[in-house]
Amino acid sequence: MRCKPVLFTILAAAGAVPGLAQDSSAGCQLGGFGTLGVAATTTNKVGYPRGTFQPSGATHRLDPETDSRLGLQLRLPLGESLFGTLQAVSQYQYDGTFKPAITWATLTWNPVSTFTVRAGRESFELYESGRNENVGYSYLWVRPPVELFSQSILTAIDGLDLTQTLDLGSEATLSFKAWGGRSVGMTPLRTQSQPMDFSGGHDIGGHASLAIGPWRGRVEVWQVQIPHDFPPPTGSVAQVLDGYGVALKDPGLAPSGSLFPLQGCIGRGYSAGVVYEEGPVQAEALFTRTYFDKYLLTPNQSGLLSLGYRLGKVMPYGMFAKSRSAPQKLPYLGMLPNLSDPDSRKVVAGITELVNGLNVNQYTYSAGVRWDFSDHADFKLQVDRVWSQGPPLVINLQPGFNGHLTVVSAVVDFVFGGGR
Amino acid sequence: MTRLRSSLFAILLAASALATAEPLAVVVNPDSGITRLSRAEVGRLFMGAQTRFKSGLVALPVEPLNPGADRARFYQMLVNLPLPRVRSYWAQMYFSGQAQPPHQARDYQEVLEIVANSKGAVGFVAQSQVKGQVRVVLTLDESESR
Repeated sequence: MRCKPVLFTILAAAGAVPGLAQDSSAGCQLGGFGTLGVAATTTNKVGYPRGTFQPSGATHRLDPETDSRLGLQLRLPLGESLFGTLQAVSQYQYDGTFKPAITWATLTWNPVSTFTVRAGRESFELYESGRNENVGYSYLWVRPPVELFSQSILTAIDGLDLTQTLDLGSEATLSFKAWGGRSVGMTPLRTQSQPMDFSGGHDIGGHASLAIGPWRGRVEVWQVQIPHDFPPPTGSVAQVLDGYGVALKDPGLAPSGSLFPLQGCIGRGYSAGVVYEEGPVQAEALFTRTYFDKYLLTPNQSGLLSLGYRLGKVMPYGMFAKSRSAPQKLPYLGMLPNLSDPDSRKVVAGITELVNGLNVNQYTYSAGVRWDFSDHADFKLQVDRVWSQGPPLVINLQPGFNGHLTVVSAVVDFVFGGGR
Repeated sequence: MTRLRSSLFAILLAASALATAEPLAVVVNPDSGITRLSRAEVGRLFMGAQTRFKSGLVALPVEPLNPGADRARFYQMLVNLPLPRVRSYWAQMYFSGQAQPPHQARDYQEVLEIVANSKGAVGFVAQSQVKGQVRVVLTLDESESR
């Protein structure tokens, strides 16, 4: 679609302007995507968010905020080998609003068929199927499994990536991608008024992927940096915690005798995944592991198995995803609630939530169906049976939560313009 | 029993139609210098994994909106994926700033016009529809794809 008023675009998406959505000729193009959905769980003892960037989640009441979102994208050709992409997405985010955010603002240079350079802001991409998790129409499920994708504290990076592709013949393609830049991301902290700002950290990574016929395999490594400490007042209690650690001769302390600040903490990770797509079958397996150079942040490993089978326009699917962190080794944290000063207690509650919130232990069995009822839209119905130890993948934990919940979600995903 | 017979008849009819479906011809502009393309290369061009021909010429893939059944057959034979999955794949590619989907022409006639007038265009039409200033560089036939 050429650049036209937004209203016209939305009318085209709704089918009121036949043919407009099929215009993919060269020139400035406006496209978009969105999801309208509701989710509800079987408990009000805990909230079930789509990601750690949301300040609340679905409960036993129908919740339209968790999965609903709208995105617009402008694509601007700037020559035979160069084009620009600008994308904004409105979704329920860290500050409790739907304030639109720029998720893509890139220049892409493609001087030869096998080499691409991209610079600017781009959505953080760690796994094959999470390439653009805002576009529900592009993947099988209602949402990418929270056990893997929800943990990403970064939403985008401002930087550069290089991709080289090699044709190996016999329908085999090998590609390498390297990327680097500064992170962009905010996460709400429930016990504090200010969100945690992850923007500005230096991040690098890369992957190698091999496609042979219906198989795609990908191995990825990355390193991210936490750029800021916890916002006050939690950050100010660092010395208290460090004091406990030193007094107890905690062997896990850094030579400086410090657990905090987190500023400058390095997280590293790798993932390996394989996708099989042929005819009606769509299958995926993925494993990932992350670890940090700060003792406070324990290693985590996550994985998923997914299988779908298409029957015409309908595609039933099933999925299992699990994430587990190594146990936290800070025994003296239990002593902290004994502090009597109300302000200290508030700070300690924050610290405890943060530390506990860094330990993930959750798994989900999902079953669902995707119905491609139109050329540009689908309807999905999904039931998740979740077991969770608690935050951060579920939030607003209330007394009496027994670890189990069932989530029922129904969404309509749509695309218009360049997304065919 | 009557319903079973009807179902069997419908299946046989569909199988018969599939067996006799006309091959699809992949066509390019004669001035492109391209005389042959592999199925894998056409697959990469139409799925956005390759934006230029090996000669360096920028490719413009073109697909006809009608008949829709042939579009579905094309992708089934080319990459063995159903059309709804091809659409969701393109949503993923396009909205992650990677590539844009093939230009969509109204019908075979418009595909032939675009290919005849654009040096880098590559399209597909039913084999019997090939005419004008285009060159066939690959033929896709169900019997060979299975």
